[in-house]
Amino acid sequence: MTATTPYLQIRNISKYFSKTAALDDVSLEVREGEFVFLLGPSGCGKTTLLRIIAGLEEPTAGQVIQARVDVTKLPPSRRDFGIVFQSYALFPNLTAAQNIAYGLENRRLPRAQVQARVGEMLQLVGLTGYEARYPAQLSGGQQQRVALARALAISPSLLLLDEPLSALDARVRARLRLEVAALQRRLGVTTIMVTHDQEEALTMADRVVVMNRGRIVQVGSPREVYRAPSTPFVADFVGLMNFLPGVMAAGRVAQVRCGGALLQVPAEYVRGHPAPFLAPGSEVMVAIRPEDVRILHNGFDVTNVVDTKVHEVEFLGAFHRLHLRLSQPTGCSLDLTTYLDPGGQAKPLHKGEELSVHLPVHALRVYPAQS
Amino acid sequence: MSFRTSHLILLSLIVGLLLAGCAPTASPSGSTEKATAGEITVYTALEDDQISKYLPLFNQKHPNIKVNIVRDSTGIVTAKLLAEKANPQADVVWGLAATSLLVADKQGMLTPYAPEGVDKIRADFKDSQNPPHWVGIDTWFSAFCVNTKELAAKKVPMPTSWDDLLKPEYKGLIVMPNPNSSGTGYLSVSAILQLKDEAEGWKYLDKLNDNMAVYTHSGSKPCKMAGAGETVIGISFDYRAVQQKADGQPIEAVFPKEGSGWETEANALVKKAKINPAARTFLDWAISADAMKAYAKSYPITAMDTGVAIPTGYPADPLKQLIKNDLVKAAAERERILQEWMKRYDAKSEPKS
Amino acid sequence: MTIAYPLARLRRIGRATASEERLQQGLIGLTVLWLLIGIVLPLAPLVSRSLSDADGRFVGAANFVRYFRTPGLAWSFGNSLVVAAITTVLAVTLAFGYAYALTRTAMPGKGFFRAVAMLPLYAPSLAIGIGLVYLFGKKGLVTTGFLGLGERLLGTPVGWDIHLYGAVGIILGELLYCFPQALVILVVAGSLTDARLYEASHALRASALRTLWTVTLPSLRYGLVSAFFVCFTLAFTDFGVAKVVGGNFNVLATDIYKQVVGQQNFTMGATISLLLLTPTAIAFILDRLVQRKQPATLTTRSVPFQPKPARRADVVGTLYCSLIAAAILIVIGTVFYAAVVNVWPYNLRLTLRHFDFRAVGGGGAVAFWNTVRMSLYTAIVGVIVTFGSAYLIDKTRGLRSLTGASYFLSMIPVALPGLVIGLAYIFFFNPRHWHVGGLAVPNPFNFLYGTMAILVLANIIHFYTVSFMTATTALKQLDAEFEAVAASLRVPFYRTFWRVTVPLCLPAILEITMYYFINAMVTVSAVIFLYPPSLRVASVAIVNMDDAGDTAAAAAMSALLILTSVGVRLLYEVAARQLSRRTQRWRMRDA
Repeated sequence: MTATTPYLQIRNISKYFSKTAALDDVSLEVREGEFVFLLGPSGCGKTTLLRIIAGLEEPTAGQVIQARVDVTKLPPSRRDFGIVFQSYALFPNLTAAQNIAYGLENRRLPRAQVQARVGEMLQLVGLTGYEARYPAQLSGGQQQRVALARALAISPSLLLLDEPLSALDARVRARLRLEVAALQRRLGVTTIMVTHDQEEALTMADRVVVMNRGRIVQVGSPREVYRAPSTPFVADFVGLMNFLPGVMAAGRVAQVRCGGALLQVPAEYVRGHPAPFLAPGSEVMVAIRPEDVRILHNGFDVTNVVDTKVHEVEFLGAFHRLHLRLSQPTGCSLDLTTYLDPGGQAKPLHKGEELSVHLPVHALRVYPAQS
Repeated sequence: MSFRTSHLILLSLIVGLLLAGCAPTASPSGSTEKATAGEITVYTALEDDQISKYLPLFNQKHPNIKVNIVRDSTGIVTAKLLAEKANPQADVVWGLAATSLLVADKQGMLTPYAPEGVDKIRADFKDSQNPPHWVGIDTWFSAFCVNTKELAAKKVPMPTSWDDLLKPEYKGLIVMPNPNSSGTGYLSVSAILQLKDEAEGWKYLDKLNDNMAVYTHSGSKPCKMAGAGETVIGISFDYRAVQQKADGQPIEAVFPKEGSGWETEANALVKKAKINPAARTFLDWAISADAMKAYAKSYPITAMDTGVAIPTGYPADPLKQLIKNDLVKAAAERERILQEWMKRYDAKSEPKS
Repeated sequence: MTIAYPLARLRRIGRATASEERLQQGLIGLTVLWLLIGIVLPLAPLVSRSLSDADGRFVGAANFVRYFRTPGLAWSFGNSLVVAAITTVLAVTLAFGYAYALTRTAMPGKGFFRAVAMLPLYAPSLAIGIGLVYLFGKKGLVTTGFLGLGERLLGTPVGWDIHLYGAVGIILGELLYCFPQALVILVVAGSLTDARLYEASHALRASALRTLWTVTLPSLRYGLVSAFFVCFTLAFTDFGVAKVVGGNFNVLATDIYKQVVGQQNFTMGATISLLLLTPTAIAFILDRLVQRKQPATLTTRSVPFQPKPARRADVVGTLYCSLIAAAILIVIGTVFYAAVVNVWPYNLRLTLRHFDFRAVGGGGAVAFWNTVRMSLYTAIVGVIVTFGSAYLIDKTRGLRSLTGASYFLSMIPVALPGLVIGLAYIFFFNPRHWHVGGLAVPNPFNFLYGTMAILVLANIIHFYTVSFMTATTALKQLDAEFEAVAASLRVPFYRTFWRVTVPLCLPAILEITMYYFINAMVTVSAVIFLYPPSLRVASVAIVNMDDAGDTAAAAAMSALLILTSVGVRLLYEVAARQLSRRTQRWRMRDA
């Protein structure tokens, strides 16, 4: 096997439940040692895809190739993976140590070897001293770590995580994110994790696979997915995004429908052979992340300036979130969100105040208008 | 399954059963092979409290033969016996009404067998063929069990005859066994129909039906009901009445003036593909002197002279109490009479008849 | 990069576990097979018998026509319907009040009232009939004014004759017999109500009556339907009570018995069996249709209802429950009293002589021990088979058609009266050959006929559905991913079954064991046609004793059965408590 051969290949997988498609012709490749996230809203098919990789569901069509072996028809017990579920599925009548040893005991290993491995795993997840506890006597985070240790104890080549952090409270979740990611890198085990939490995916993943309605909509590094979302859906699902409807004008300019401002868009959209949706007269969505919106306090000797009125000021502790409204001249209005004043030092703004903001050219993205 | 196939299945099932029944009946008639060990199934209509006195005698003598007793009322045992014709379960019939055995014999279900000592049995107590198809042991006859305390409480006179029972003051106070299930019931009905002529007999039974509280399943139950005060008059049989009186229940045994219907209890060997030799051992014992003496403690009339005194409570000359009864006729008409009876009175019958 | 996942490794794993998959699929196949043999196949000859004459010729509906044209018989169908309908309405109404008091008031002594209400479950229905005879019969305690004691004390006759024998007696008896069954269902349904609904109703100042109408009844709707179904089926098909106190009032169950045992008329027996089966099957289908619509009344966010003391409601509840509990205690107590009275009603000296069963029919002490053995086997084999089947049906991946079929088959027995099971088993197991389309096929199950095994099988099937549902409910409460995790750890399913599933379901498993044991102890209908002479059982002995008029002995045997069942239940409670202390340690939150 060469390094270029992917460890896991998902080829044209479809899955139908009665008539509705849970997965529609999905293909994906995962390299060895990679930490890949399946990200999407509930019902997008991400869990179904994970279960198909594990052999817990059978695909209607397509193939799963693991380590160059077609495992599509193999039952889970004949595949090579470890899994952690959202519920952890810890055996409540077995202690933490017994849970971790569960997959080892079946292999006719000497008792001492099993003990040693259990100790090693407990240490790995930082639970040394908890071996005699039953799951009901452990906190949620501890249970999650036992489940992880149990899955890893048998040294699987592939680790599948089905929303393992979503049952935890925010603080524990944030800490475990780092721990799990560090553990994955240390062990180098190929890992696929399902989540609906974009923050989780962005902080932990090597690669993020964004899914919607049974299809993969974008695959890329967290940075790519965040900075260059390929569709409005991805843009909106991963992070916050402002959308301003408009019409392409001639040249590098889009005219925003409301307020009539003309916005220059990045050159990449019009250079070479622009997509048909960028032809002059086409309806488009111009998008910008809130953090890219610049508030102009004095002098606006720049392009892409729009006049707005403060509609709402949301206090969020470390910063304010401003809801601005483009409203000129008629009753039509558009919301634009931005952040104000990290640190909260500037003078507070009030509802109704007028504000000019700058939308930097390089930060704009253009999408075809949605039907 | 379509109706047609189910029909076919059933038809072939029955045919198969019949064939199986007719198949090898190899046991040579007159074989006298015995056994000292084994397990046999015995169908009987003897009273439970009688069986509990008789059977230990056999067990003492043949401890290695296990006897499975199937006891029920005469009609039930008869029906069961006939229903199992194709695949008989019983090895031996013990103490079943001779009229019932005659019916079974007519259907070819009995194997002729002359038990040891059969020559000592009175001629009118056994089948006339040689070897006999059935051998009698004793006779029982109808009697009224009357609860004296309830009689006094109700301020009605003691009945002394069948005709007394039609009096309006006894309305709802009489219980008798259903002849379909009970041998006692049948011998009483048969006695009425023979005492009077048949048309008059049915008229009598119609009127008796008006006075009847309920027809019971077994022949002993009317007497036991009378003993417990659940009824005042129970049409039952001699042994029951005498026994319960002796037990201290407020029972008077009344033997009707016109005479009592009676019936012989008899034994037989069931025809089977393979006859269990222990069955012959049992039949030999069942007419042995020991057994007969035990019977004689229950009934005044036995098939063999035992020298045992007539138990107290019976008429001094029990033979005089018996009506003239044609057992063969009673057997031949059994089915017709039972059908007629059921048509007329079954609605009043206690469950299971 | 190192090649850590050579093909050989996957293949080796594959070989080790392939047989396990086949094993599970084979087992689910076996499950379907045994359910077919136990339930479906025996019904076929029953149906074909009812459509044939005594010689096996197909006669269509002729037997049914004959049944309805025989006046003595035709009445029974109507009788059964009327009696069952009245019993059902009364039993569910009374049980509703009792369940309401238990779940919605803060009256004292709930444990006592609950236990007493369950007493009839530990008695054969015949025993209830016998208790009624000694209370309301011609010489019953009530009829005679406590055997003349009342007259002596008050100087005037105080007897009250309710004319027990007939419809009155049957309804009274079935009422007692059905009451606990309805109560169990309604109490469970009653404790599933979300307290927040009551708080909302209270906050909106709804009257008590309006709360009953808008909160209590709707939440009990499905329980009520189930209770109606269960009571109707029991009352319509029970034979014990009608046998003892029915008098001249014929019902279907006693008719079947009369035809089969009394006249050995199996054809008519089969015909009446189907008549017995039809209304229960209809009731069953209606119940399933209603239950299918049941939403989850209890979400994870529901708050269990804790009744608060309310003086008037508590007093009324206590009085109401006391009355009913007293009625139950009196009837059962009378059975015990009758069992030790020398000669009722003439010699009230106490004696144990009726417990000497040698002079009465039915098989006496041997029959009693046979019953204990049979119940033990039923409990042990029953719980293994039931829990195993429920597990396979719930957990087998794939083979949807087989698991679906098994689930459906498992629902059927609740609609099958014991008498029907018994009769069907005769037709199915007794012949040495089945004749299918003119071919004689050796009956591979013939060897079971007349053995303990067939009695145990009949009992398991008779009480299967409730046990199966108990097992399924327990299994559904387990994390659905246990099996997936175990498979990923390459632990075979049977190991996980033994190490995780069984320990987690232990309370349900013990409950099923107990349920089988108690029911096998007291049932008469499923075994009365099946028991061989060498294996007589106690409940049938009671029938025989009653038939022969030995009512005192029948009372004694009933008392013995009740004592044994209640005793075993008490032992079980103690043992279960001990066991749970040792094996259920993991349920405790503190280390």
